[in-house]
Amino acid sequence: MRRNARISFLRVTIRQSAGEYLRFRIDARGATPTFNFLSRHGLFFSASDFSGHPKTTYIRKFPLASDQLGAKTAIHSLTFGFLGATAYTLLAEVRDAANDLVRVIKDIDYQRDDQTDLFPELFEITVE
Amino acid sequence: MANVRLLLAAVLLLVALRDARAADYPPCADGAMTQDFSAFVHSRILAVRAREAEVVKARTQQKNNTNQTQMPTVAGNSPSLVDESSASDLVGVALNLLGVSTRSTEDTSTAATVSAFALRAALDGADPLDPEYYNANAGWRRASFTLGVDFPQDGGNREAERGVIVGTKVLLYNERDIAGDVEFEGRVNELLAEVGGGVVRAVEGRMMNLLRPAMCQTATGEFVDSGKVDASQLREIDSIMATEARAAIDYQKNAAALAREVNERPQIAVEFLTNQRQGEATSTYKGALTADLGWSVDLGFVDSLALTFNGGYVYDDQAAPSADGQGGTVGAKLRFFRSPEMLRDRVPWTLSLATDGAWKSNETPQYRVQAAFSFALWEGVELPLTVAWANQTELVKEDQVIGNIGFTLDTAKLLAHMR
Repeated sequence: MRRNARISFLRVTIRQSAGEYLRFRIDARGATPTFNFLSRHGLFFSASDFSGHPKTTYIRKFPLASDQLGAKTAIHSLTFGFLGATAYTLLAEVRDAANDLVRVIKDIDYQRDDQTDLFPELFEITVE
Repeated sequence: MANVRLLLAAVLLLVALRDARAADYPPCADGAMTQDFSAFVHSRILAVRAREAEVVKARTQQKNNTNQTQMPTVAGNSPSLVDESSASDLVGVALNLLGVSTRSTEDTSTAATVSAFALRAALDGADPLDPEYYNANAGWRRASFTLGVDFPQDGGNREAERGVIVGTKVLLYNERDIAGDVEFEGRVNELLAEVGGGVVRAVEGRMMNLLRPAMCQTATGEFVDSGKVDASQLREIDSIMATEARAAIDYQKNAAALAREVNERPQIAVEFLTNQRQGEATSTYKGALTADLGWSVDLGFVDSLALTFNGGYVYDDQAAPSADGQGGTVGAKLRFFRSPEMLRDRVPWTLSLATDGAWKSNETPQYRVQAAFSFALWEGVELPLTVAWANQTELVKEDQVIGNIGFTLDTAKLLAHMR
């Protein structure tokens, strides 16, 4: 597995009360992208949850009103699998209520060497 | 007024605390041995897995083992006795380099196999590895076309006996394409959820506390300075990973087992190939049915077998119609490999044994046996070495036993490594 991290912060604070949110954009290559995003409090999304899956680009806001966070601060993992995919690019950004960029948290390419590769991309997310 | 001041002070304190928390890792020193946090955790997964692998060798299985990239059997000097049921997803190229040292490379037998999917992608100007395109056009991967040139192995008028190979192959039964396989995807999702959950459990709490003193930051991220993690801390971190992140440690063998189930499913193809030779030379037509099966075995040096079976009809078109011949052919090939290695895009090596027989009206029965060893030069680029024996010298020249060197290229694998 080859990973090229241009930006990779672990910690991110989302001022949800001010309208901020985390925006994930995942671009994939291959037959069937497989990834999921979870914390110990629950699974928030998987590739197969997106309409139009399998597809090239997946975009998801976090947290949604329906997301049960369980704790103000928690470790989250966005875990990528490569059994059906050859590559991913992750862009995770904090955006404000006007959808303007506040901060880039992750900007990373992943390229498989083996089909059994995996990569858990970690976030320590605080939602205020 | 006092309340307003108090409120203002509280707000300022909260802002200060927030800024302090955002900046509570020191800047990374020049020359520090840093990995970003996720990369560090991933490296510990690999380290624990590698250490355990020294004790217990994971038993896993193959990547799709039936994508033919070698010269088709209808070529007179193909290094392959048995055609396989499917082709590369995109383009496969095979060169027979036998005798390259004694003759021009212009005389090198060459064949290229292109999937209908690759042709369609080229016509559409689409990226063939775009998931939407790949899945929407799964049916196009069932068909492939072969075009090549074949030179006889011996001397004589090589140009006059040059053959043009044309063929097509259609997968009639294909359970190995995971595109649209909802059950397979669901099981992968289950594995990944277990991995993510385990890693999160491992990181939160004790591991985070161990690593925070070793963390530093730059403008592009937060990093773990490995130089500040001593051996006992590393042992404790690995112990936490081995316990809490068990699913991540075991993912490789579990994913491989899942892939093995897919690749042991049967696959059946029908093919038509012709080798059109000029002038007085014999042109050959072949129609065949090909079936592939896979099994797990425990032979020590290998853990997987793949059997390919060919049965077909052959027609030899001679210059004199009365000399035309026809008959049947049967072939079988057994490939031996280590399945974890077959799941790599760069498969280190494969070993195969093959045999075939042909019974034609104008010839005595022909039998051949072949051993082949293929090793990877690069992702998608393999060099097959073969040794063959035949009961008739015209089948394999030079005292009935011949060495053969080929070269195959699978663009699907190559493209997977090029962006």
